[in-house]
Amino acid sequence: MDNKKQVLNVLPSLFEEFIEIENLKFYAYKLDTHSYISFAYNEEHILQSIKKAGLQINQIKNIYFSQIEFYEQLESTKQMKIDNVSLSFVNNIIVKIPDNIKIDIQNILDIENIKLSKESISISSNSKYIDNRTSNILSIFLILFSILFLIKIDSNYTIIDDYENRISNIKNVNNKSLSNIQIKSIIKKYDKIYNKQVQIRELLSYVLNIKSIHDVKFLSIEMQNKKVKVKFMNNKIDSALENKIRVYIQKRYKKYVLKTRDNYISMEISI
Amino acid sequence: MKKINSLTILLISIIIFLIIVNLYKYTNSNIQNVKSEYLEIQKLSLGFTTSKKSLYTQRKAEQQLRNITRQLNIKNLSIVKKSKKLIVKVKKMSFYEQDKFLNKVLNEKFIILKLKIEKNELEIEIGIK
Repeated sequence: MDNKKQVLNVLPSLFEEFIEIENLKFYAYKLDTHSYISFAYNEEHILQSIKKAGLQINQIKNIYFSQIEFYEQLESTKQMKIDNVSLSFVNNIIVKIPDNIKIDIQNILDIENIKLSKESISISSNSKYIDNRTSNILSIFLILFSILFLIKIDSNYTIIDDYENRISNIKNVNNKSLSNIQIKSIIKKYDKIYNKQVQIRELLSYVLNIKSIHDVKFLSIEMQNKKVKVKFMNNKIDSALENKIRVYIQKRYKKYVLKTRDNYISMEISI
Repeated sequence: MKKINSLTILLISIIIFLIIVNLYKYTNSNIQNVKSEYLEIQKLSLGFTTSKKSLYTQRKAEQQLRNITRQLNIKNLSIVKKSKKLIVKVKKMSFYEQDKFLNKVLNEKFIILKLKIEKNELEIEIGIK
């Protein structure tokens, strides 16, 4: 196999022929091109051992395997004693010699002077829920997303500032001292005046149009408070003319008074 | 050196992430608020400007009246300012001139409070904003 990942993938199936692999994790160390040392370990057992040794898990940065760390020394010496533990090298695998077997081993390794390899694992008390690697990856993702959101927040504040500047500019153009309610009130007032003026003009225009329809001459026109009073005359003032004018006014206005005098007609129309 | 638990780091990351997501939501809702405020003010401003322009101010009304009299060559015009109105009187005016003058006035943005046409005299009261 070419890489460590492939080896790790097949390790559980290899081990399950000999041991129960539940709760076990696996490790592979490459010796040469096509040769690996592989082993299974139980994190819970390691944690218990650390506890028994009177240590806290957060005091332990990394955990190294003797199979890897002492491989080179034992490959040459075959037997070695470390911290009163006798080790032997059998078929390229380091094994612990049981304490009841008395062997005189001269080769004693001072563990303090060992230069450790880069092959190690780290475990924590929460390893059974989430392993360190996954936890770190998740943390990195969350921090990256947080940075992206921070960039977006910054851009949002720029947009808010832009809108606030536009609002301030509009207020400066109109009148700084006027509140929205005051502006609404002014608009309402102006609209009311404007609509009234439109109605007045329509009424005047309608009344003045009588001249072109019935050929009358206006004697006077008065307009005040949405009320128009007109007096007009014709060569022939009679009820027929009065009726024609009445019909004309009725088409558009309901409030009116029409009176025929001797030589003129007076009319009062209200909006 | 004491090792920092990776789960602690993860928890801190989650808390930071949640705070930032909430801040993001808050700024988003602020954008919506400030945007609707801007649209309302813009609409009000447009309405305010349109309303202001729909009717003449005192200065503009006087200027426009003089323009009309100049165009129609009317001589006997008097404009008197009285509190919030202009009283316009034109004497010795022919029927034809009255008709022309009235047409012009009605087509401008004056606030006509009162109108009186009698014989050869014309009187208009124009309101001032």
